[in-house]
Amino acid sequence: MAIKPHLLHRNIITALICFFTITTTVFAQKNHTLNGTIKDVTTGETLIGASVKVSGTKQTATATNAYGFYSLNLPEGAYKIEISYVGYQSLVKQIEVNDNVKLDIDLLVSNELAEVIVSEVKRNNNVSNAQMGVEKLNVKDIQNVPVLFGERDILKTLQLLPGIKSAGEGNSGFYVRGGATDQNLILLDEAPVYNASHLLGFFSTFNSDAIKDVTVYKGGMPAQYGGRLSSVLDIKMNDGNKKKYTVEGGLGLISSRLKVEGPFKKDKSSFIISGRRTYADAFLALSPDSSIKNNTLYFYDLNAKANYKIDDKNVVYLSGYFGRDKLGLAKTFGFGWGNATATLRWNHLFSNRLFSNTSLIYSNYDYTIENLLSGNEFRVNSSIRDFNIKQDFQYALNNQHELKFGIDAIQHTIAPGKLTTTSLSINPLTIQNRKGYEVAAYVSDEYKVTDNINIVFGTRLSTFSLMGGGIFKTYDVNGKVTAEKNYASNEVVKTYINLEPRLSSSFLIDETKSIKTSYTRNTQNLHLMSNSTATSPTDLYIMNSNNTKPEIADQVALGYFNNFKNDVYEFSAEVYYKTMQNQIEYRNGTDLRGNANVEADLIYGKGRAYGLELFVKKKYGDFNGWIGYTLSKTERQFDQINRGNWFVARQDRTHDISVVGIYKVNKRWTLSSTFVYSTGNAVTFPAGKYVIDGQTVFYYGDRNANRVPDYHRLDFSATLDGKPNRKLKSSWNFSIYNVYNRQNPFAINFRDNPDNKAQTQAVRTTLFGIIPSVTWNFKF
Amino acid sequence: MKITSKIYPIIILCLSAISFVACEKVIELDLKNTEPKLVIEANFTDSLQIQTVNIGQTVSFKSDNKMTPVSNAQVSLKSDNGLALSFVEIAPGFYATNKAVKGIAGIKYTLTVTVNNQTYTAISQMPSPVKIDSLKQTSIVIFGKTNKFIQVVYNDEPGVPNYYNNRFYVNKIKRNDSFVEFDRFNDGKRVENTLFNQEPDLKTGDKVKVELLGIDVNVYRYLFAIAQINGAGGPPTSPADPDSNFSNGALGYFSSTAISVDSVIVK
Repeated sequence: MAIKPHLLHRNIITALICFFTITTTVFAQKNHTLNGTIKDVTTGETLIGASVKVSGTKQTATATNAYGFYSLNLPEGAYKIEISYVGYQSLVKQIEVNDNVKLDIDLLVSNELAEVIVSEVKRNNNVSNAQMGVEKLNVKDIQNVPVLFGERDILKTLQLLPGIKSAGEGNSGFYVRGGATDQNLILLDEAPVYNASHLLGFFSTFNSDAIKDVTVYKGGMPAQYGGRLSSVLDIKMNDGNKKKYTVEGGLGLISSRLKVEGPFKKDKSSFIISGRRTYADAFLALSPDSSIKNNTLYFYDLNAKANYKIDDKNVVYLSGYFGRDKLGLAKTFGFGWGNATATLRWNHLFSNRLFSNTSLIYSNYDYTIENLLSGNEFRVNSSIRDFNIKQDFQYALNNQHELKFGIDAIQHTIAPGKLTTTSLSINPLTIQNRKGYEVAAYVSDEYKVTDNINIVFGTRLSTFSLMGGGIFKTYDVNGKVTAEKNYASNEVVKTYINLEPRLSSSFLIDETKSIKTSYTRNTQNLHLMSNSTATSPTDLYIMNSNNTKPEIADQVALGYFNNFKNDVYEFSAEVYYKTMQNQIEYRNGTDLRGNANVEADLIYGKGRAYGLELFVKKKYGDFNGWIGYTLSKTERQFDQINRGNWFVARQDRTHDISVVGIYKVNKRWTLSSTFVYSTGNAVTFPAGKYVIDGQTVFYYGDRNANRVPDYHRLDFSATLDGKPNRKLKSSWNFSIYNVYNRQNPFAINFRDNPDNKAQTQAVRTTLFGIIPSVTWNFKF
Repeated sequence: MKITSKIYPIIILCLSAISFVACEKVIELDLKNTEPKLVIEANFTDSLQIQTVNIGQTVSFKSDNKMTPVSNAQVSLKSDNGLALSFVEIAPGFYATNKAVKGIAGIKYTLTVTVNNQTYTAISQMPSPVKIDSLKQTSIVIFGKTNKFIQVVYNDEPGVPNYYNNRFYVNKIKRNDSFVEFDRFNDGKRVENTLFNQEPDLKTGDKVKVELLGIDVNVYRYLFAIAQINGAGGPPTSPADPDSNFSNGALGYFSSTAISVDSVIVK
């Protein structure tokens, strides 16, 4: 697919330029710019995606970007500006535009019960906007959703949305529209997070105290995002309170959290530090037995961010994340893994219309395994590390066109494994590091064609180059080496170029109804090899190479959006069809541990996924929540699997339902409940058995031809807020996971019956039955 | 490297200790049965003995753990150094040479089985012999409990990849633990491989016998795939039938096997 895209690309750019020139000429009139930043009045946090609606001489609307900034072009005249944001009181302002206007607005958090919906403000951004396949979570919104062990977790709450499926019981890994867990681009303040889970996936690495905004794109990804096939999960950290110092925290059964934030200099500069640590091993330490006492099992997270507003045109942000899991058995073995990310950003306003963001990004994931058994001591290290520079521009060309363009360059370094040892019976081993450059450029235009038609169209040109040095082998379809070549350091081994068109459009039937369509191509240059259905810290990343080609996905989607009852209710229906090329599996009996020739064991195939997603949400009022339903199918095809026939993928769920309800009973009590139901996972059960070496071995036959029993679960949670108007605000959260103790299978295994060795039996393992938990939160 | 595959059970154990909940239950599943498939298991060893081949068919999940024997098969073995042997059926599905023979290191052996006019062949090269130097006993404390394990000590042949299987017997009963090994991390070393056997744990006075089998790469991958399916390294993605070295879709394997035996009494 990497043939001559530069020609195509040049043509598109030429066409774009012509197009803009024409449209600007046609619409040239006395225009002025209205721009500004929208913030929370009490904390000074910028608000992402706040709606700015303009009526008067000209009707138009926009939303704030990731930095709370908005910009509009308006002809001279009088306007009514309406600013709204979920969970905040809407604001209406009358302004006269006869010159460029800078309008910064502070919104006030809506006052619970007393708040009555301001009915004159339309909140129909979801309908009019061309973007589809997008879900937004406001962290405030999800505070009350019940969760496992009382640990609020954005990744698990996301799994309650249509099209986003859990990878397994209690697992923070997720599948989007039939994609695998490694096909999600997870960004924390723009830094990719390579392993987003703690403790094998039962907790995500995102401490919700530190998170401001979560947006997930299931399709129609804007052109500024690239590098993964199935979704983009864009997570923004809080900037820190610009007005006053606050301390917040929580004590739970599993972990405790503490967050400190405040201004360095009021309204100009602020910081936030947020930490979390589990203490399961604290109980172990109570044991008098040293072999128990000296075991370790914990993880911790640290998020920190600071920002400084130099002047009205320049703001810098520095943010970082550091998290680590530690697991150790005294004198036996130790295992640690974690991510570290850092992002330095500079927002600059070149003019009223041209907004720029420059980012320097670092991300590292690594793990260490130590064997401490005497005589066999060894240590294995592995890591993946990124250095990334990004330049993004946002240009409000006129009141019809808003352009986004930029470049993005990443250096990836993968150290697949290094084994060091003091033992006489083990050889040290270092597998050659791999280095690659991913460079991309993008341009897109948000074009308001008429009052009823919006189009976002653009393209992303992505390149990937695998660099030397070292020996690179080429394998045939059976995994036999056909060629071998030594490359010098920084010599290009292989380059892939892909053009990724992105197009979405909306047609507004009336103020409350619209139809949207989109087409998206995504490519992926890094691939995760996993031996297991569970998220494992030792899963191995590989890059494109002379053997492995970029994964490519093409997706088309069609949607109908309807708001009713004055935009209090949102309804959407989307259908999608997606094809995937160059999907990767590995051969039977592949050992990924310390394997320098892992590509010899890879096989390549394709995939397809299609489905219908229905979503209805009540956004406002004392009672709110949503119902999501997905009907879908996901398949894969590999010549070497299932005799080359298409088979249902692990990600396939025919039916998937989630219901979320949150009810604010009074000023102090909030009740909430979730219910999920989904078709059981497609798995391969034995179709017979035989005996090898005295052991029972199962015969399988067709891949994924069976289903585990359906999954369903009801959770419940109640939050009691402390008495208002005290200096120390506190709340209690009581939650029950799996209220009716459904024995959902984590795994179904087959084994010899221990009581009758002549027989076999099927054994269901359930991880989480009914689990009550309690958390105490405070803030002062 | 075996210890890494122990991570999962340990984490599951830790989590269940926290939540008091993880539980196992035997369930009834309505499993589909397919047409019976042919299974051939043959080990041709480098020790002078009557060599045997076992031929059977798969049975349904609910049946006893015994294959349906396949009789009246033609079984023959030849080598690239001129050896030609035929096997005779001495019990249903059980075929044997009529005299004691042994394989020689470096020689390729081809086993041919004909059943119902369908011929299945497999080739396996006899590995160099590797002798067990000694069996050692070691104790490891896990969560306050002391477990006894046996270590197999041997000198790995340097410069070539070696693949091993260990058969583990306690008081003359073969255990079903899988101990397939590869010298990726200890080529040419004096290896002390701890055999982490499942329950029941070893106790003082147990007589342990270990057979260290030298096998070829295809047989190693076959046995390693079976270990993976059985959950070494976490819940497997999608279990699939391991790739047999037999042609025409027969299950099982043919292994030219170098064998070394040692015994020890647990102290």
